[in-house]
Order: sequence, then structure tokens, then C-alpha cells
Amino acid sequence: MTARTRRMSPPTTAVLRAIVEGSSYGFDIMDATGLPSGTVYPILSRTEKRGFVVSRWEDTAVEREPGRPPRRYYTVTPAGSDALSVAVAHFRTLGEPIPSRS
Amino acid sequence: MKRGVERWFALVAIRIASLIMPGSLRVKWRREWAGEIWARSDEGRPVIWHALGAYRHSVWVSGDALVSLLRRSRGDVRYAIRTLRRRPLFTLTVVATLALGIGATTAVFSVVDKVLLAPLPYPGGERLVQVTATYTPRDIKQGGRTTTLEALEAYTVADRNLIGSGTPAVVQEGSVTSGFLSDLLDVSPLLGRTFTTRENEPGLGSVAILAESLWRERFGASVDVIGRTIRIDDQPREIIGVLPEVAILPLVDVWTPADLSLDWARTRTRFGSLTTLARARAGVDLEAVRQDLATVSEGAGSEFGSTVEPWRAEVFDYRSLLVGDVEANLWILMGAVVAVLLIACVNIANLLLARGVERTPELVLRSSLGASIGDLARQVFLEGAVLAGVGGLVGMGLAWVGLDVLMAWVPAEIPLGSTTGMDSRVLLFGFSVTVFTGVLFSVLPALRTGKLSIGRIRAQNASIGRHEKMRGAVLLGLEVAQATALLVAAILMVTTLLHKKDADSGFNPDGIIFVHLNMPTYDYGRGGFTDSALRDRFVEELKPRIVALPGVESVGVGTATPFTGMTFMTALQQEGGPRVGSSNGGLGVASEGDLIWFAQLWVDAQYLATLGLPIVSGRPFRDSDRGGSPVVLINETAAAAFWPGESALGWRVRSGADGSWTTIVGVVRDFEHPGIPTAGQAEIYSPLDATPQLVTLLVRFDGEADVIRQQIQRAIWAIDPDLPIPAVRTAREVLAASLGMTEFYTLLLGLFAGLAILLTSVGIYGVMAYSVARRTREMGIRIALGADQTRLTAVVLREAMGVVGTGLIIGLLMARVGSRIMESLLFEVEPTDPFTYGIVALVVSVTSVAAVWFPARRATKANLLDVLRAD
Repeated sequence: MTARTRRMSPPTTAVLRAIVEGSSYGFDIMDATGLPSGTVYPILSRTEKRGFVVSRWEDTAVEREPGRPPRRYYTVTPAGSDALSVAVAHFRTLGEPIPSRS
Repeated sequence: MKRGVERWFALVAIRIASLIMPGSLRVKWRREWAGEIWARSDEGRPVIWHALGAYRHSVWVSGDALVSLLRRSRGDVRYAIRTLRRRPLFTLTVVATLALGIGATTAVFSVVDKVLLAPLPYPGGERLVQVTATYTPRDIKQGGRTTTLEALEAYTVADRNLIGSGTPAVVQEGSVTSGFLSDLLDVSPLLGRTFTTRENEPGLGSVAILAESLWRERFGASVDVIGRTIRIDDQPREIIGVLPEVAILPLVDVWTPADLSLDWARTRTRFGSLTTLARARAGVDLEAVRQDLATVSEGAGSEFGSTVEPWRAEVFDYRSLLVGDVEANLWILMGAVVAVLLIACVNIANLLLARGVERTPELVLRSSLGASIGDLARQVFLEGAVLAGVGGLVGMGLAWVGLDVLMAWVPAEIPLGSTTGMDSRVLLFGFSVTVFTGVLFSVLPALRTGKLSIGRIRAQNASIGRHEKMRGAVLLGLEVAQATALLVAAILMVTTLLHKKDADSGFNPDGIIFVHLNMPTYDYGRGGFTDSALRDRFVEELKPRIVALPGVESVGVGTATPFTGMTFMTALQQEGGPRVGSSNGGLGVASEGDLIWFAQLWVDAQYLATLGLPIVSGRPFRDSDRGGSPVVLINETAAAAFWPGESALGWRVRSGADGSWTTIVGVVRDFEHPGIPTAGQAEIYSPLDATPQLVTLLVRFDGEADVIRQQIQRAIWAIDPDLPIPAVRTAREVLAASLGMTEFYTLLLGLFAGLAILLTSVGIYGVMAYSVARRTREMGIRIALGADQTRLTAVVLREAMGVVGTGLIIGLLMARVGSRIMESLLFEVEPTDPFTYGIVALVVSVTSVAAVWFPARRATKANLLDVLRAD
């Protein structure tokens, strides 16, 4: 357990939880967490830099409307998963609600 | 369709948001957002609001990228500092050059900013207007209720006698309406309070506020001063407060409430000394205020009935009035100091470029160790940035110190000059200049590094490329051109100052003392020429006492001197109708209908002889003229303007149709002096029959001015110990003071030109020394092949002087064009004065040859051994 994981904020916890629970795209995560895009995207960028999530571009083989760019989807890494467990445990210990949808 | 349009707008917004992002992240970022927007839109859900989130994200990403860059650069900065410390002479030269440039620019800017740019230091200072009208603010307020002004107050200043606290003194009194200090200017007193409305009522305002300077000088900054009584003229006044200096009226010593009775206002207004200041409402322009006051004046006319004349208000932007022609001159100074800064930048860019070439082996080594071209360019840029940062800091320190020195030079004629100081605006300017200069001289070397390929770096040999040589030459030429233009401006100003100092003033200013007396009405009877018995007696008693002093040759008495305070203008009717043609409308000469305008003086029979102003034709006054048949003298300007082509002697003038005719019996030599604005106007001298309240004694003496001064003061106080004597000054002192502005501009321009020449010489020396060092191989081979040393020196000199010569010619052309702007500052020297241009060409050439000579000599001492060593 590092100092960094202990300091995970409720919105970051909510975002990681949303990804683990199956929301992969940025806007889906927004729907799942109820957080605005201006909050979700910086969290995604930050957690990706910290190695908690990785992103991939949508498969080019997927049939898309002409002109539509591919989407970027996110998955939680094992490190991210560990950090999330620690954060959830932390919120539980404190008796606070575990951040999911605000 | 609707969905498509919304999506299109959202995508455009995202594209715009991405513009602030670093190029390396932009494409990926834009694609992700577009993908999401598109998918969401396909689901039939609104997307336009997500564009806002995209903006927030783009700002975050950009900030994050910047923080990462700075983190990465920390090591580079440390490396840059180490590198610079290893070359102390180079670092010191660059930092000193830059500090001088930034320091001088910031110091001059602080003056320019306060005088010309920053809002006046009062609430809504940028909206202050001056209203000239024939009535008091109260009349304007009551008469028509203006809709465009939110505050309207007035002041007038006058010299008064301060009695009862040490030696009697003449002080400047500022009489103000009740809201002038509190509402209009919002000045907070240091002690006590400002005036109440009640204190402005006639007879109720026996109070005074001291200006800080008077409080310190005469009352030793005592806090017990509140409640004490002082006498200003014959009126006792209770001190109710102490005020810091009021920037727009810095000379006022004591503030009193203005008694706003209509009589007071009309009396003051007639003498043109009541100034009405107002603050326009926000968003209202001058024209709207003018129209508003025109409406008010129509209403006011009917309210006051037939007892007063209809009035017309004129409205002016207050700062423009205050600043006047100082503006253009200050911009010239600013231009000059910016030129010095640019020379400094060019110098440093040249030095850094030279150093860049010298560092090629180091860059090769670093690239071999894996540094990319971008890393190397960043490193070079950061070195420039570190130099700029240190130079900027030292420069601002210099500006801080230099400002005190500058303030001592700023003449009192520069309005608001006393408010100058370092503040957040000046600091921001200094910071911006530092960033600007840093970018300016760091970018070229960084670009040079960035353009080099690793291969080219490695392949580069020790000689200078043609391209590089050319770039160095262009920068050097620019430097020489700017220094040349500045030097021309400085020498033109020096010539102007010398000419002004040597100007023939028409009289002999050596050995004359002026004594201005203000004989108060409470001791000496009413002012003007009436009720003058007491004043006449005083002067009759004083004159022989002064004449009897050792060294005094003669004493003359008059209402003023021709160049101090001669502001009384009179319109006279000319016998035989006006003769003024359009060709006679010279400076200071005016005619209106059948009236001709003169500046009027009343003088006794000894006045002109004491002054040494000769009679050109006719005769001087005689003692018998006093009370005899009315005669006058006029000056040469008046004679030439109003009696063109004929003698003015014997002709008569009178004031108005019912006035009595007076005969012109003599023409007096014009008084001329470039520093005195009243010089060159039409003047008329009448015999002094009665002594007015304000009177001037001229004393011609032979001896020590200070001794005579003290003896005169003693003679005056022996008759009346309560009579204050303002500064007793010699004519030389008065004339010298009148050249304060010219001296200020000359001093600063001279300083900047000297700095420019110094920096340019250092620049030439640096570039030549570097260039010669790079040519060691060539020189060694030439000498080995039998080349003559003198010839080699000549080759180097010729090359350098080609660049200097081109710069010199461009600089002279720049000066030729630019000197026109200076025309109003010049006196008896043409902006195209060939002598000045010749001197400048000589100075620049000699300085440049000296700067080139030493490196050139060193080059010719090279030998093959050096070449082998260099390789």
C-alpha cells in the first residue's frame, strides 16, 4: 500500500469502479458515474499515466458509419485493480459510502 | 438533419479546443473526443454540451504537458547554470549588457507610464475633464443639473504670505471647493480631516490643511499641529489636517476652503485662475459632456436673469491638458532607450551565436551520447533564458536604484513626474521586457542548433560558414545603424542646449538680482494701483537703502520682469486704425478688430537701464514722465508687427474709445530667450505711477550674489519684519532654470547614445575577436606563405569596416528621417545639420576601428604552430 493509493479521490475511485463494472468508453463512464466530461477525462489521463488503466482504439474492422472516428476504450490494469481494492477498503473502514454514481 | 448540425458544431468546437494543446498530443486527443461525440450523437442524445468538457480537458492536458516539460527541464537548467559559470567573463558580459538595457528601459518606462499611460491616481482618473466656464461649479450644478458629470469641483492657486510660524514666507495656497479633495480626488489626509461643505460657506472657512512638505519643513512633522492657528495673509486659520502631496497640484503648500460666493467666483474667474475639474460618468465621452453643458448653460442664463452674461463651457480631457507637449518628448526618450535595449539584444544574440559555433564539439559529443536535436536546441534556448532571467533581475534592481537618480533629474515641468515609482505595472513591464529579450536573443541560436542535423554537426569543421558570417554581419550592421541614429539625436540635443545657453537674450544677465515682493493688502492697502500710498512709501524707503549697499550699481522697479510672470495682457486701440496685415501675425502678436494685444509692464525710469535692455529708437522713460503727459514704450516685435515699414515713434494708442491717448516715445530691444515662452511677444511699457501689490525690484550689482542677497533681505526686514520675501534669484539662475527640460532630455539622450556606442563597440570587438579566432588557420597559412602582417591587418580591418560603413550609412539615413520628430526640441540647429552628421560618422568610425584593431592585430600574430594547435 503506497501513500498514493491511499489518497485516491472519490471521483477517481468512481471512475475506476465504473470501468471494472464494464463501462469502457469515456462517455459511458460519464453515464455510469454521473460525473461531467471535464472531470472524467482528466481522471482518465491521470490514471493512465499512473498505470492504473490502459487504453486501446476501437478495432478498425468494426463496421462504422463513414467518417466516424474510432472510439477509445479503457480497461483497468492489475495495478489499478489493486489500488481500487485498497481505496474501497479505505472508504469502508471510514464508514463512508463507496463512490460509484454521484 | 438537426442531429447532424449539432454534431458538426460540437466537432468544430473540439477542433478549436485542441488548438491550445501541444502538437504531439493534439491528433490523438481530437480523435478520441470526436469518436465519443459521434457515438453519442448516433444514439440520438445531445452532444453540444460535451464540447465544454472538451475545453476543460484540453486545458488540463496542456497544463499537464507544461508541468512535465518544466520538470524535464530542471536538469537542463542546472546544466545551463553550470555551463555559464564555467565562462564567467562571457556570462558577466551578457548579464551586464542585458541588465543595463532592461534597467534603463524599465526606469524610463516608469516615467512614461505615470505621465502618459496609467490612469491618473484618482477614482475614475481617466474620466477627469477640465471645464472652463465663466461661473463656479455651484452655478453649473444649480443652474442645470448636468447629466454627464458625477463630480464637479474647482480650485484656484495663489501666492500668500504665511506669518507667525518662524520667518515670514510666501506659500502657495490652493483654495478648493468642499468636495475637491474628498469626492473628486479621494485623497486621505495623513492627519486630521478634509473640509466639510459648511466650511465652504462665505465667512465660515477659517481653517487650513497643510501639505506634507510644509508640515515637515516648518512644523517639524509634529502631530500636535492640529488645532494650532496660522496666519495666511491677514486671516487666522485653524489647522485641521495634513495632506500628502496631490500629484496634479504638487506645489500647493496649504489648502483652504474656497468661499463660493458669486462675487468670489466672478472675481477669481475674471483673472482666469479658477479651474473647474469634473469627473465624467463612466461611458460618457467628451462630446457628450460638451453638449450636456451647452444645455445647462442655456438654462442657467435664464435663471440668473440679466445680471450675468450668458456663458459657454468648454471641456477638455484633463490629462491631455496637463501633459501638453511633454508627451512627444517622452516618447522620443522611450524610443531611444528601446533602441539601446535592442542593441543590447543584438549584441547578446551575436555573442550566443558565436558561442554556439564554438560549442559544436560539445554538441557533437552530446548527440553521440543520445541527445536529440530537440534536446540540444532546448538546451541552447534554456541557456539564453537563464541569462535573460538573471539579466532581468539585475536590470530591475538597477531600475529600482536608477529611478531615484532619474527622479532627481526629472524637471518640475514634467507633470505627474513626482508620482513616478516602481509599482506592479512597472514590474510587469520589466518582466515582459525580460521575456521578450530572452526570446529574442535565445531563439536565433536555438534555431541554428535545431536546424543542424547530427550529420552536419559532426561534419562541421572549425571555419565559419558563409551563412553564419552573413548573419553576424547583418546583426552588427543593425547595431551600428541604431547607435549612429541615437548619437545624431544626442548631438543635436547637445548643440541645442549649448545654443540655448549661449543665446543672446537682448540684455546682460550677469550681475542682476530679481526681488519679487508681495505687499499684502492688510498692511499696505487695497491691491491694484489704487490706494498705493503705503506701498509707494515702502519702495521709496527701500530703494535708497539697496542702492547704498556695497557693490550695488542701480535699482529699477517694475510690475514684473519680461520673462517671469508677465501674464497681464492688454488690448489697445491704435491711432489711425489697425495696420496689422496677415504677414505680421508672428509669435505672440495678435490683433482683433481694431484692437491690438500687448503684454503690459509698468516700469520706473531706472528699470530698463538696470536690466540692460537698450532703447533701439526714441528715448527711455524719464523721472519727469511720472505724472506727466502720457507716454509709453513698445518693443521691437510690437513696432514691426503693428507699424510695419514705418517708425512707431509719435503714434498713439489708447485703451478703448473713451480712454486717453498715450504717445509712443521709444522702442525697446526685444527680450529673447529660448527657454522662456513669453519671449517674442509684443510688449508695451508704461511708467510706474503707483506701486502695485506685486512688485519686482531689479538690482544690478558687482560682487558675490549670496552676500548681496542677504543684504537685500536685511534691508527689507529692517523696514517691515513681517514681509515675506520669496526666492531672491539672479537672472542667470532664472535663465538656467528655464532650460531644465532641455537639460533633462539632453542628459538622457546623451546617456543612451553613450551606452549605445559602448555596447556597439563591445559588440564589434566581441564579434571580431571571435571571427579572428576562428580564422587562425587561414591567417597562419597566409603568414607561412609570406603574407605581410600589415597587409593582413588591413584585410581584417577592411572586412569589418565594410559592415560598419554600411551600418553607418543606414544609421545616418535613419537619423535623417527620425530627426524630424525631434524638430520641436531643437533650437538653432537643423535636424539635418551636416556638421553633426560628420561628427557622428567620425566618432562611429574611430570607435569601430579601435574595436576592430586589437583583434585584427592579434590575427596577424598567428603562426603555423597556432594552426596546428587549433586543429
